[in-house]
Amino acid sequence: MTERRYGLLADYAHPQQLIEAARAARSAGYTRLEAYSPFPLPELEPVLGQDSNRAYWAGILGALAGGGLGLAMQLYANWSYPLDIGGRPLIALQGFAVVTFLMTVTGGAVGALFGVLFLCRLPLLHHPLFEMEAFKRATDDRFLLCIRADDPLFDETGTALWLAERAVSVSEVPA
Amino acid sequence: MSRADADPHYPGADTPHFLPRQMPLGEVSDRVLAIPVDFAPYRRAWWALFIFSCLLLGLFVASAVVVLWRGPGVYGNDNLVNWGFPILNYMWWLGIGHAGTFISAMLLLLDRPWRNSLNRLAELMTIMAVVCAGIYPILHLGRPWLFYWSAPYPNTMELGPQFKSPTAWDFFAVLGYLLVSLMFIYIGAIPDFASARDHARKRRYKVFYGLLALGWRGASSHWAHWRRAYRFVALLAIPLVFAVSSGYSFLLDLAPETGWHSTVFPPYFVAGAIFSGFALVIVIALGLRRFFGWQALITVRHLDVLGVLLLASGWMTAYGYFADTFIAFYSGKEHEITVTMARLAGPMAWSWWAAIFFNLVCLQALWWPQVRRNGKALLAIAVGVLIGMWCERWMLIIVPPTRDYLTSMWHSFSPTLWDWALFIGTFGLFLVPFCLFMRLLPMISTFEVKEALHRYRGGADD
Repeated sequence: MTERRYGLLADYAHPQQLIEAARAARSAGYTRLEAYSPFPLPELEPVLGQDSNRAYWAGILGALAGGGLGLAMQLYANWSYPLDIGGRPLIALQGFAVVTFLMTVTGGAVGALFGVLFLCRLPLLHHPLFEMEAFKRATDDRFLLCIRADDPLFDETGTALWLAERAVSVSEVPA
Repeated sequence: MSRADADPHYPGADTPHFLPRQMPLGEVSDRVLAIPVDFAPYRRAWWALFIFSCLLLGLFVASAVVVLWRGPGVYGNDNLVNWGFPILNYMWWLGIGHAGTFISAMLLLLDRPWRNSLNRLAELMTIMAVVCAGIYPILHLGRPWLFYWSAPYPNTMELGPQFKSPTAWDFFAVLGYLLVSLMFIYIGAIPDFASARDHARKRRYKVFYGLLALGWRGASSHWAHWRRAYRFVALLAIPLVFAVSSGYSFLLDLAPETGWHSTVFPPYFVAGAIFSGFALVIVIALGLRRFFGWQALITVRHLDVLGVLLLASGWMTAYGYFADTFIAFYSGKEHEITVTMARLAGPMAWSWWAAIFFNLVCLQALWWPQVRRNGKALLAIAVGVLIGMWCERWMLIIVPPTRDYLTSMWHSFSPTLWDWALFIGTFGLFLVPFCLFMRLLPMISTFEVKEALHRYRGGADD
């Protein structure tokens, strides 16, 4: 290989073709591949081994952190400056439940947002795929499959031919 | 080509998403994402709306300056009726916000794909309504510039908020609700920002949407994480709706006023909140449908189902009226009965009967599908509900303090010019950002509409 390339991009008109192509690529032994679609295709997740629940865990972690922080804040405020409010106990957990709950929900949302950004490695200002003409419609009505050049099975002509048998068009993505 | 494709007034296709089964994916983008980049057809009407909104916002700013300059004495509130307009309008606006979260989150988890045409506008409505609501308690403070005292922050006096008080809960409720709504809509809009970025031709739009999209590529590994994060936030947002609106019903428990302590209040306020919010969703959906010519995306069946939701939540609210009134008489407490009679037949009885008229009597027209499917009739009923809910807040909040325990303390309340000016001004606070959203954001969640179209094509994709 003389010039560096990111991979090969195959273009499909229908989601079903993309799913079948991804399945075929996996059974052919390709491992470093990614599918692109304008909306989520949950059927692809088991095919590409992407059914990870880490986003849920990020949210749960955020929720626990938020709730813990909320409760700790209220305990601290009361211990550091005790006030007798109508004879209620200093640590009135029933009363603290509200803010603890609200902070749990807020923390959960923060965790999910930053979790999904971290897991997707976003924000990212530029990516080789953004240079591709074919990729412009990936967020509109086209379905794309990219086999990366660093895949152990990647072979420029072989992979291109293999993809061309199945796709509308195949293009090379420069790095 | 089926009839549904040919006739934009066809009452919604018989599909779970209410859209024509064979609507091409690209058409959804063309109808929604093309608007910000090619705004010429809407420019005149938009400017008219925007200038009108700016005038209202100007009124808001002027009234707020008067309140800050002259103090809360400019309100009609006094020692007895000390909540008056600011808290009435706070509850009215905050209630309206809840329907957006409900439509977005609840209907997402219940798997109702028709929600995809409505969730974006409903969520934007939520955010602006919460802003309008949140500004009121601040402007109601004697010294609004010290509003940050409600927040827990390290200070030399070592004071923290009084966490056993509903007012401290309320600070967290409004702030948390605003933040969660913002994060929910942002997570839900990232893929649409990416679509808008790829759809844009001019560089300034590419940069604008590109920055908002954060480099989203629609990769399947991203979708896997995104799908889970979105559902997770939706799951959290539903109990939040219930917590926030029952939370502000607890605010009423602060005072020893009769008529503010019914145990039905939390569910009654949740129902009323969602009810008033559906009414504003209907108004906005009808407005945008007409403004952008979206009859094919917000179909007559959407209007129909929104009418049904309005009717159902209206009956839940009506249960609150009945339970509250019944328990007052059933309790046998003389003063409970006095306050309730003041609501039913006192000088402010108009507020009770207006609430019943708009929220219960007029609402029953929605039993007829012809009414639900008629844009003008539905609009009239929805606007009526907004007025009726405002009168209900008046009946709930203003009437009890006018009938204190001692007859010598009976009192009246009349809003001042600045009360009205500030209230009318909050519509500007709502509309100005909403106009900017209309101008710049995809007001329908295109990728979710496409996903629903794909799911229900029955294998034969476009």
